[in-house]
Amino acid sequence: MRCVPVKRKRLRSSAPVRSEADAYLAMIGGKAALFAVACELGALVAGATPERTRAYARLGRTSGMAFQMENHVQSDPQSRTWALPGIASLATARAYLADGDAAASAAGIDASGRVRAFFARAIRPPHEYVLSTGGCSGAAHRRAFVAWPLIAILFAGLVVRILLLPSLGFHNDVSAFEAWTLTLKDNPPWQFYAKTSFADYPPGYFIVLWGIAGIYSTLAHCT
Amino acid sequence: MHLISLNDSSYFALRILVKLPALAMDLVDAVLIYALVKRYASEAVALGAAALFALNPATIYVSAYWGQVDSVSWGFVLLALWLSVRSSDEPAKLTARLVWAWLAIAFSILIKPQARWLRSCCWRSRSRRSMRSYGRSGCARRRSGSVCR
Repeated sequence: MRCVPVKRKRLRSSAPVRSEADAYLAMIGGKAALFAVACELGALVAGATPERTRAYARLGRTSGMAFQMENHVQSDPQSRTWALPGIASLATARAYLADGDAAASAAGIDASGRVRAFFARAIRPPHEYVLSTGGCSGAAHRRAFVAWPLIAILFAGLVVRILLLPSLGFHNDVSAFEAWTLTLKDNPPWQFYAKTSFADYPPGYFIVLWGIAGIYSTLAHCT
Repeated sequence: MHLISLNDSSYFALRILVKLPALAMDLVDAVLIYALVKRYASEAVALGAAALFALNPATIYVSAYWGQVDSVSWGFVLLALWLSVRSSDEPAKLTARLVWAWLAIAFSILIKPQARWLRSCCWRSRSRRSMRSYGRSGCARRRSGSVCR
């Protein structure tokens, strides 16, 4: 029986690692060796060709790494962030997972539905990890579900406020805002302080009121 | 008579319109509070915080009844906080998000200067920190919340 050379990587290498990302990938790569060995031995026992055996080893390694990454994202479901320690960019992770995807097709495992389903889950593109903020596969459903309480709260807040909207309010403030809006209906904001009789606000809100004045004059034209 | 009633209705519309920005920003503030709290606490707590703001008699009174615009200016502060805590999520967008956060704070101060103390607070926290901890391993290593701790 011919043995396919297995690349060994020392976990505690004395060589300096280039970055935290490299260290992280080396660490999960080492853990994923179990997957790689299992896949490779399976292929060997089944009498696969050396190319195919190597492809299985690569598939095991990358899917094992994908599993680790998924696990680490899951371990931090609250923060809604890419929780992989030290991964500088999603592109790094994506490259690794794409490698696994390529390995899967190279190994020709498409025939087996169950295996494909597992790896399809393990080798999800990284953006899905980020989007599924809970980290796990049920997160999308959970998020769609919990969006409704927030919408209900906002709607209740909106209804209460709309009911109070026609009230006169604090007369000094509301009439000042009304007067400023009328001034801005006829004058651009950069002439506002010259044209208004009284203004005790900095200029920021007059930009907002300028928009309101635009809506008001459009409405006035319509009626 | 017709003229008077038209005037009445148009002034009614003006009053409604003048109160609208504060009302809309109330809801935006609630969403931002939800998003901020959700980063650090559970869904239920985040919803509770959003409800505490959106259904708070005080905030309802200030915006919808009184007609004041504090929710507009504080909305931009919340936006700045949201941008700054998200700044370290994606290193590529760190600078852009911090710049937008500062611009949001600047606009907030231009609407109502109540948030001006934040500026001095940020300036102080920046200057107190040594440059060494800044530059050693790049921005990606920095903790979030750099606009204001």
